[in-house]
Amino acid sequence: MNNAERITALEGLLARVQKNAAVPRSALMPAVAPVAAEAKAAIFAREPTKTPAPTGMVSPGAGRYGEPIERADVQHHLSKTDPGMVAAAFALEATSALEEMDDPLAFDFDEPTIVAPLPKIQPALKAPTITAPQKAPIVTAPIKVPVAPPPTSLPLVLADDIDISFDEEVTQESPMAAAAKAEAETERLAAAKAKAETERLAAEKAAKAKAETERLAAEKTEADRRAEEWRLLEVEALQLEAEQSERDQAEALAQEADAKADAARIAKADAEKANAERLAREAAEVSRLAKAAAAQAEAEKVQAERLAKEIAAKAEAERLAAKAEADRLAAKAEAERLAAKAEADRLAAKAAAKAKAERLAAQAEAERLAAEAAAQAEAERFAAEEQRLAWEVAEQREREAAAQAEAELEAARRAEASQQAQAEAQQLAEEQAAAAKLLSVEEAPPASARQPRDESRFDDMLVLDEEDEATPASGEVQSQRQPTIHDELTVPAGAVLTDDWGDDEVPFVAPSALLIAQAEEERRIAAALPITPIDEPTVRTTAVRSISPAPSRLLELRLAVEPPPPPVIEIAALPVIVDVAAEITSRPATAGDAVSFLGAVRAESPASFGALFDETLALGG
Amino acid sequence: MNHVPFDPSKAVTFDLTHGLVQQEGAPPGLIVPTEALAALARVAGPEAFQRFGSAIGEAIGRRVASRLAAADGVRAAGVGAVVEHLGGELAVTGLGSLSLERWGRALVLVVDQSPLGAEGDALLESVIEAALEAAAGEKPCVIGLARDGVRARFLVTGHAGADKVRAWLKDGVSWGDALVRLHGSPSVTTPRGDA
Repeated sequence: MNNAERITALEGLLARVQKNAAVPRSALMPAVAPVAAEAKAAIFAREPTKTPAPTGMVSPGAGRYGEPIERADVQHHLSKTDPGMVAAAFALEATSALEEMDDPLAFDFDEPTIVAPLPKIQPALKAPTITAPQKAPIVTAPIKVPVAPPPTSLPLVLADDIDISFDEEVTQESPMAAAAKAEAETERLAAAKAKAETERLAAEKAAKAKAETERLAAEKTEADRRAEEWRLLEVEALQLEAEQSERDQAEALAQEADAKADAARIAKADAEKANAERLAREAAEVSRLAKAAAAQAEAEKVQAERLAKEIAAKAEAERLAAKAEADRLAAKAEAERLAAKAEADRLAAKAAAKAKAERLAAQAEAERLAAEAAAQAEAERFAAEEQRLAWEVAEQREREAAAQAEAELEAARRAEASQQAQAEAQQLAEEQAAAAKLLSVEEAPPASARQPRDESRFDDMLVLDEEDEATPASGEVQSQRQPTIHDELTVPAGAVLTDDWGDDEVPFVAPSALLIAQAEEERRIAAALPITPIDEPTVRTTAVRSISPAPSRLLELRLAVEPPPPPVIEIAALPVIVDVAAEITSRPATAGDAVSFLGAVRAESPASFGALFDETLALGG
Repeated sequence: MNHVPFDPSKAVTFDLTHGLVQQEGAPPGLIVPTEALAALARVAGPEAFQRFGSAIGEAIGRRVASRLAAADGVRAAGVGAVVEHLGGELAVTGLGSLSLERWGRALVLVVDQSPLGAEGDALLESVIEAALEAAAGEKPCVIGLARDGVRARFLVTGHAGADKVRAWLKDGVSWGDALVRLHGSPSVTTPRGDA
């Protein structure tokens, strides 16, 4: 029970006491009333000294005994007893309450005792401000012992005796009996009462003094205990304060440590973040550099690839050019081989002709010698036989004339054929030259081999002087005569064709018979020679005989050299080359370039862009 | 087939009042220095640059298709007409001068004087590819064959052919031989003397 409740309970008890005191009692009450009133007055007379602490205020030493209750001066005159005891109580009141002598202090153990445990000091985080008592509380109120009249001595009761009267008390004893009894009792007890009262008072006084001493001792002990308790509380408070301080300090330290840890953590986080950002920046820089390096490497790679491609294309072009050059050289070598072969044939033919001429010359010389011998033998018969010889000469001339006519006819025919072949060869050469020019300029054969023979040229060595043309005079021996060329000089083509176009040709004179035989042989050879087709890879040199009329004796030798045929390329022997031609379609202001194209493919032009688009998309599929 | 000549008039409109440059039938554009574009390409990477080129080529192809649609369409148009319009659009864009070479059945587009140089060949590939796709309605593969100075050649072919040509070029085969190999069968060839 706290102080406020105690105060409220005490005030309630006091009000009830006052109420009971104010209630009129029985007839005997007036005798008692003054005592009660006096007791009440005594009680209330002390009340001013019992200044209760204001509610809510705790005086020093408050706590368990903090309630300002003055217990020693409270007197109980009435107790809660059964109805039968009312009379005794009344008698006690009236006659010093002899019935309650057993309990001189009038303690009524049936009364409720306000007992409350010591309040526990609630632990506080912070020690309360406790002012230690300066000194132990001293009860300054004097203990007044009421000097009551002998018959009406008031019992001294302790403060704990609460005067509790009950409204339901009923007094059943008759007034007369009570009066008689009281009177007898009064008389009986008159003497003993004084003694007893004196003894009682003495004992009471002694007891009271003892009680007061004990009370004082108890109060002192209580004060000491309270002081000790306060000290302990103070110590405890100090300890609590110290603990609180320590906790606060520890908490502060902890907070400081936490703050430091937080600061360190934040700093560490910031450092880590900065480091991470730096690493990220470095990584980004590295990545950027790597990308740049990769791009650079890629560009260099592309450049290298482009250069490699260009080099490869150039090498390919060079290879093709070398191949074309090799082909051209091979064709040239073939032509030279053929020319050498032709030259060898020509030299062989020339040698054969020379051998034949020598043979014929030897034969002619032998015949001449035989003829001279015969002429010598026949010299005597010269006159007789002169006419016969003349006739023979005339006959010979006639045969020679016939042979000459026939030779001229054959020569004219062959000249015509040769001219025709030459014209065709020239035309073919022009066509082939044009085609070869389209293919490659370097592949063209030498111009000298392709140009037709200049027909206007003639060999001066073959022109005979006028004196050479004179007929043998009469009387000259045949051996003294110069060989006379009666008809054209027939020379095999191979023998005539030389490097210097027959400049070293030496005309020779053959007898008529030999000439006739030579002419016949020439015609045979000429007839045996086939007409070389123009597309055959042969080089043929044709001598066109131009027989002058006899009086002029001019022999003109013309050489017609056919142009060499185009080089024959064995297609089957060559590697397969797929030539692709670029057909360039450019805008009007743009010129196409087909420098690097390899060849040509004859593909039809697409009808539309869509056709070309579809074709190119279908490639490689 | 009807021939619709390329008319570059009003192909580019400079709206000085509003400060806009606009190509025909296209949203407003920008005139960007070549160096800046090349720098952007180096930073952005080849994929982004390819997308960039595809966007340009797609717009070009749409314009070519819309112009040739007045005649018979792109597929039915003549090769010269397509080259004229496609080259005109490329020229207006500033990507160089276009011409066409037909190597057998292979279609080779030649771009001269491209301001981006060798660095812009990849861009030209994507531009031509997207332009032909938008114009002809079928996606081709465009491969850079070779660059000779200011002249770059691009082969237009299908996916299979493109893979083969790339492999050949990677192996060091010259682009001419690659074109020859692309035709595959030697039956398409004729002897040199018959050419």
